[in-house]
Amino acid sequence: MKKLFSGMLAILILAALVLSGCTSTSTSGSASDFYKGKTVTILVPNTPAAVVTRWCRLAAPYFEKITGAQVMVQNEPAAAGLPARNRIYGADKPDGLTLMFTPSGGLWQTWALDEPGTEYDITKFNYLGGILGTGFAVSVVAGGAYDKADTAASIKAMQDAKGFKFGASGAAELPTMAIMVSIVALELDATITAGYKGSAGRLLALTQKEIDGMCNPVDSAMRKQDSGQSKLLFLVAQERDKVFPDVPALGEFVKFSDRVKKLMKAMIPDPNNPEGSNSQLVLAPPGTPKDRVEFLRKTWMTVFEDKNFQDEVIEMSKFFTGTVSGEELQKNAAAMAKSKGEFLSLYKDLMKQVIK
Amino acid sequence: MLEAFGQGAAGIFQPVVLLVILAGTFVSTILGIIPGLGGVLAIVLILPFVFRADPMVILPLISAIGATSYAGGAMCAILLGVPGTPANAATILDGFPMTRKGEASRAIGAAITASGLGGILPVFFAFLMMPLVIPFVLNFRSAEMAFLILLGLCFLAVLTRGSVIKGLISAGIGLLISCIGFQAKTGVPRFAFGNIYLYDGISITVIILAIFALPLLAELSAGGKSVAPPNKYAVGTYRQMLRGIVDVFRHWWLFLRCSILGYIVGIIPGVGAESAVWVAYGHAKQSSKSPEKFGTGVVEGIIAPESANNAKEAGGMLTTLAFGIPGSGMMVLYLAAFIMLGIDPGPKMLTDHTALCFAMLQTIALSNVFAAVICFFGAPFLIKITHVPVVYLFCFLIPIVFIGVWAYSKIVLDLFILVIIGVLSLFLRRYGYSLSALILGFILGGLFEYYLWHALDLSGVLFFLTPISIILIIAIVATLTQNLWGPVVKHWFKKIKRLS
Repeated sequence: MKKLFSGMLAILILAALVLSGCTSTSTSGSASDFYKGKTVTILVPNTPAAVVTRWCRLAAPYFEKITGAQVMVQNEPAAAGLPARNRIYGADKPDGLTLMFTPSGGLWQTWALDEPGTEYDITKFNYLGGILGTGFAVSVVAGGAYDKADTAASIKAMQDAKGFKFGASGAAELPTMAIMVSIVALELDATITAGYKGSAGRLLALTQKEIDGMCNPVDSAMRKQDSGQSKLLFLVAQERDKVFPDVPALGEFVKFSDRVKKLMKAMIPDPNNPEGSNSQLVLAPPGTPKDRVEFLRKTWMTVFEDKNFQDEVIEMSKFFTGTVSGEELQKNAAAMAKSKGEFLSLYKDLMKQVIK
Repeated sequence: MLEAFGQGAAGIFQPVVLLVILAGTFVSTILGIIPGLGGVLAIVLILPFVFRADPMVILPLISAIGATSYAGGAMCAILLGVPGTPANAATILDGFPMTRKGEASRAIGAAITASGLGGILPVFFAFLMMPLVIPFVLNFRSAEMAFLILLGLCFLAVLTRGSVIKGLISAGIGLLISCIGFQAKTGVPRFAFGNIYLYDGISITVIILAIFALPLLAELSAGGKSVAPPNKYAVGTYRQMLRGIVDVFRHWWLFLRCSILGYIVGIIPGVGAESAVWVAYGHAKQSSKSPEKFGTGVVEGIIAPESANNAKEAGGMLTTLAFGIPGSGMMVLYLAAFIMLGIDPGPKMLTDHTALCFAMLQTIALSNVFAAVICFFGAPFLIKITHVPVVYLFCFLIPIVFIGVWAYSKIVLDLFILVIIGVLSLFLRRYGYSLSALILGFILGGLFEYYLWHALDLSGVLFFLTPISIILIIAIVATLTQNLWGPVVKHWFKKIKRLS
């Protein structure tokens, strides 16, 4: 009886060991095998010409190589990408074959501001990884009244001016928020004229001297400076961005009040802090099987950290800021959700103060 | 400058590059024939391959595709009364009536010649305009743009045949439709009824197809047996096409004026590529000795929009290269391609990469020649479609139109909007309301509001006190009061002639 019992116990233990080994092997193996030969659709809620689309298309062949899947990039820019984000959130079959590549700003800000038509919850997406974005820089007309010998002199000229005009696109966009914070931080007598059609519209207005300043992602601002059309003054941040060490930060010229610090933390991506940064991220719908989420997280981080991929990004965009993992993005989303109420209240106050 | 022109030409006239331009032209012309597709779709499909391509091969390919879908679109507009691309809509007004009279070959001959030459001429304009384009664009700010667009809206009076009141009502409907979506300034959604798909408004492709394609096809299928009369020129002839080609040279002054007009409209960013053809058509009608014949099938009604069509592409290209500011959806894609290749358009582009700029313009010219040749030899076969019973055409074209709209936006709501506006257009057409005025109201209304808001915001109520704005105001008043001072001026000219 004793022998029988110990024999059965041994068999049971052995069976448990074998089964757990098989399961773990088959889970990771099954996720990897799952993607072989399949078509993965990556929705991009922006136009085919957008930066995020270009990065997605650069990354697609690397993803294909690792997974053996075929990638189809699908642009759905209608209504600023909102229907596409809602659709992936409410996907009927979250099987991991439909993903989204999107800027975090558009995704999170829209939700945080309770924009009409938003049907998703940012905390419920499965974030798979991303490429860190840049901060935002204020530029003025090249050779104009505010283009002085050094940044400090330019800022002084801005502070002395009456009715400095900033141009912006949407009131809820990150560059516009960066402008608002700059106005408060520098105590400018300034107004923001919103409604310009994208960075091209703002650049044209700046070149025509219809507006005095605008705000763009740093890389875009540097490109426009190189083309001779604008002068980059400062990064809207406490400290310089390590990737762009030559670009002065606003924090070098002015001491931030507590209110400004709060605004900066809530509204402006901090390029030196991955937790608070803007990024181009990849996500899977809620309900995607956990093993596939884990597999996709590892795969996308492998793609983004591939030296060849980074070289290609640098060749196109002149820089590569870094990567952020899916787990970090998940935490960032949760932090954003926690401070949603405060963010909304700060934003509304700021809007009343500065938007014309 | 001449040296750069030569270097550009040397880069283009390589066997591989020529082959690529020819292939791109062929594909684009075919896509242009299918309503709702066009060059934009082809460029979107090519964009992913730009990264790892040779710039001297891929940029000419993209230029060729972007510049030549209008030739195919003109054929569709003339033969079937359906615009192949939104920029061919004005060609329908006289092109399709010519087909119904059995003059399809002549219409096509005129269209491809005007289109082809309209693409070649701007290369030479570039010599004159390159130093001028920067100051020209810099001086057209929001106030000037608002008045320029208002001047364009004045052409409504020209485009409406018969009742001016009905024309204004049509334009008002177009204006109302243009209000759907987010208001650019305040971000408030208008007439969206809580539907997020309407936040972006209604696209020009849907409007054009709804206004022109659906009512026309419905009327045809209810009325006649085939598009063209059965006994008149049963097969398209090259002789008739040659007649159309000669027509363009006969009306060389109209062609030149409309090409220049299209080029200038193309240079100014933000006016909208589709405006150029309507402005050219309106100008042609206004300056014609028999304006009442426009819309009944006169060749000038084809020459004007088609010469402006391709000229505007060259103008838009120059601004995109000089400023990095795209003036149309097509130019946005060009800009994306440049950036992907590490080329940054801007003022330095014209000085540091002059040869490349000329190469792009020369590609537009060359591809237009190729497109004209392709259409010339392909037209007689395509013309046979006008003798197919309309019932079959209807069954073939309606799905094509729906697929064209779907391929563009992939939004089901657009298909419903297509039907709703199509039915509305049918009634408007039936009761003598001008659909051209509706289109113009739609295209220009939104733009006028955009620039007027900015002008008021930035300069206050006295925003009109700039030299260019004052000149434009005078032009607007002159256009609107032409009936008053026109006869007086004519009378005085006659007197002076008699005295001399």
